[in-house]
Amino acid sequence: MVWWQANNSGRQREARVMLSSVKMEVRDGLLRFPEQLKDQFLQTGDLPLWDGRRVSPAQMWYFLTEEAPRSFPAFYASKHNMIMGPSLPFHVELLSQLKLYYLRLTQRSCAEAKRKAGWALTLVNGGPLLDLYFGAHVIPMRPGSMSSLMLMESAEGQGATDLSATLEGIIDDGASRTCSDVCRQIRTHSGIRRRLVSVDLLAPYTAMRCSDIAYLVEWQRAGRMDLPKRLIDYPWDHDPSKPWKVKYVAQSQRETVKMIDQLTGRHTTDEDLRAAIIQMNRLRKACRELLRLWRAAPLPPVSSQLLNECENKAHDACQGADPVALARVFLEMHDETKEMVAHGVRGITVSPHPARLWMSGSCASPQATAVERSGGVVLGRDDRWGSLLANVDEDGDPYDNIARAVMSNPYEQPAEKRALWLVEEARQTRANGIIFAFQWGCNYQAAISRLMCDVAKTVGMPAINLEMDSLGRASTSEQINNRVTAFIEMLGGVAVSG
Amino acid sequence: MKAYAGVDIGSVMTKAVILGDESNNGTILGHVVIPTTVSSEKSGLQALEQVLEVTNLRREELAYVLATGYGRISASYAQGTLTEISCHAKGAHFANPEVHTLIDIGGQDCKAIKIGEWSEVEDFAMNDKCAAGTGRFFETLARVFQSTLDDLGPLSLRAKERITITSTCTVFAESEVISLMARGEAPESIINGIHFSFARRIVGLVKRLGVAEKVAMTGGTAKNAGMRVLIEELLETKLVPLKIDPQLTGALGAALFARERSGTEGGSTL
Repeated sequence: MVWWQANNSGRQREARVMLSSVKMEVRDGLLRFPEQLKDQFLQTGDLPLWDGRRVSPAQMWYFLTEEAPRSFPAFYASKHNMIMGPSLPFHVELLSQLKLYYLRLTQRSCAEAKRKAGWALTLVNGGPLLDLYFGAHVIPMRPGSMSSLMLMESAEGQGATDLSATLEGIIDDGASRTCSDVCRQIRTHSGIRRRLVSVDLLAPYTAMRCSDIAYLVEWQRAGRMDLPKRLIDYPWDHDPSKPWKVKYVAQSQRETVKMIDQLTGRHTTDEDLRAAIIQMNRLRKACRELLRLWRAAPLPPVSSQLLNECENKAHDACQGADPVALARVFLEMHDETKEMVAHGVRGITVSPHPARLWMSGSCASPQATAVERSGGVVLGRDDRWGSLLANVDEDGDPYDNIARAVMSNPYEQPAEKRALWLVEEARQTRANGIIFAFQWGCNYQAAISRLMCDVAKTVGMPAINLEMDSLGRASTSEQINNRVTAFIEMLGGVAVSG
Repeated sequence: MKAYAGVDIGSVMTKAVILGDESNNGTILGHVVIPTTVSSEKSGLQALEQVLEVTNLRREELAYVLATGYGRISASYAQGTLTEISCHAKGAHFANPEVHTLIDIGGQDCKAIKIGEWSEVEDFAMNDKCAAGTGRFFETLARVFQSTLDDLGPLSLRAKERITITSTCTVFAESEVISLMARGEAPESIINGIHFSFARRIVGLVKRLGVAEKVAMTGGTAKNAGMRVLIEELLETKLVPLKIDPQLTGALGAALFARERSGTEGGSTL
């Protein structure tokens, strides 16, 4: 193994970069972080948290190697089933990757600590930015993040098989109360109804991005009557060029913050919101720069699964946990990745001749690991990337600024405009094609999938639309894999195994 | 002499083709079609052994084996794999280079493929993840009519009228058919309606890609005369015949890829 030390005095810290991946060890059916990483990892920097506390690498190493395998064996399982895993990778490609897993596995304790400090745990949905919620001392969780938290709540001591059965039971319960064709995202609402997570508020944006919003509204207004609810509305055309429209959304946000303040007993000031905007801008910028570096490399230096996870985490602001810590992880990843690019390293699972793909859609998309096995790499997802492009003005009225940024998200634009934007992003990143995937049960994404693909094809970008049923599942079905592989073959991608 | 094998392990049938090298003009030396059993690996292996027997060749004489179809993932005997989309395009182009639109109806999916000048896949469209529009649909209906797959096409052609089938779902369509039979409708008319509903769905896929001047059909359903007539009616064009059993097109394409790869990868022998 070759190690590279990057001296990064500008940020008063050091990053040690490994230039080849390290295989995870397997003991008693559980994946383990190899001891050979320890010394190098301990020399990396602390993780700063939102509240000013810091976590040392020694604390993280202990948690990842001792505490978490005991508490969450399902996440460490070396063998996966259709529902669970792969929660941890089979190879560690970056030292900073360990910090990403630390943040993921401490999601629950982080949320608990914040709630004890008076923050409100809130289910949000639609709308791309979480700045408003953080500014108002809310732990914002989109349905995916809330499901992840629910998973952590259920995972204590459970193996992968038991945990899978628990999760499927929650979904079945939700489906039995709505309809069998419901989107699997119903798990979140089912979990809230069953009080598997302690939620304080439901405050989503109205959004056309998924049918789930309708389930959410109906489910919760019929279910948890005890929970306060607040729907943030915005004009249907998502056009920020008209001042009255910006004011309309801003006013809706003000009323939401008033409601949150009543709940938390705080008084949220404009300065609180500006501070949140600054932190979230840093997070988005750090992730953007990391992803741009990775995409610009002649060959991806690390697996697309890892970078996709970074994009997901940034979009969800670390699943509501700690955006400050996450931003630091991205900076470290950037430094490590830069060294790998400079040394011509290719990600261990990346084909030497990959088809470069963008994913479009919403919740569901083919697993990046499966795409790489077939000879492709996933450059990004349009819903995640759309929100990461936001750079909210830090001066002036924070409500207006957030409203303007929310309405400027290219993902939320009419489908044709969104498709053209995506094609442009794809071209800038030397993509060969676009996969539009939608989850069975999502009427909105199903309705626009062909339109999106047709627009892309019309302007010369190969595209395919896929109906999936994999939301919340670890595996992609063979039918989907077959279509993805055929698309990759069409684009000239060559699988590593031939 | 070197030889190259393509094995297409479908959900219903497994097909194998062996191609020769330049010494015999690269012709097809032999082929077999056998039912796919519960073990796709064993089915592929069995097809390979049978085609070797047919051609009087030994395993050592195969320079490259390429597997395709859904069973390809368990083809440990093959040096390479490709999807059946690529292989059908390759095989169809070999059988008739003028064909640039291909319809392939397999046991568990159906696809329209746009083929480029050099046999490359330019675009493709497949049925949604559902049994409607697949060979399984016909299997189910043959059972309802206590008939065989081979008889369905001729029965459809004998229909005096067409009954509209409204259900998309295979199971619901089966219920609809049973209900129509209970009402005393003629089986031929119902069967014709099923074929028409199926053909309309497939032609919809084809039209999404644009219809080339020469269109061909592959897969087992290509042998269904009733289906061919309706697809021709809806496409307003005659389907071009291929100089090969349409069921073998995928395996042929796999063998052609095997020959190409053998050339580029040094022609290892098994």
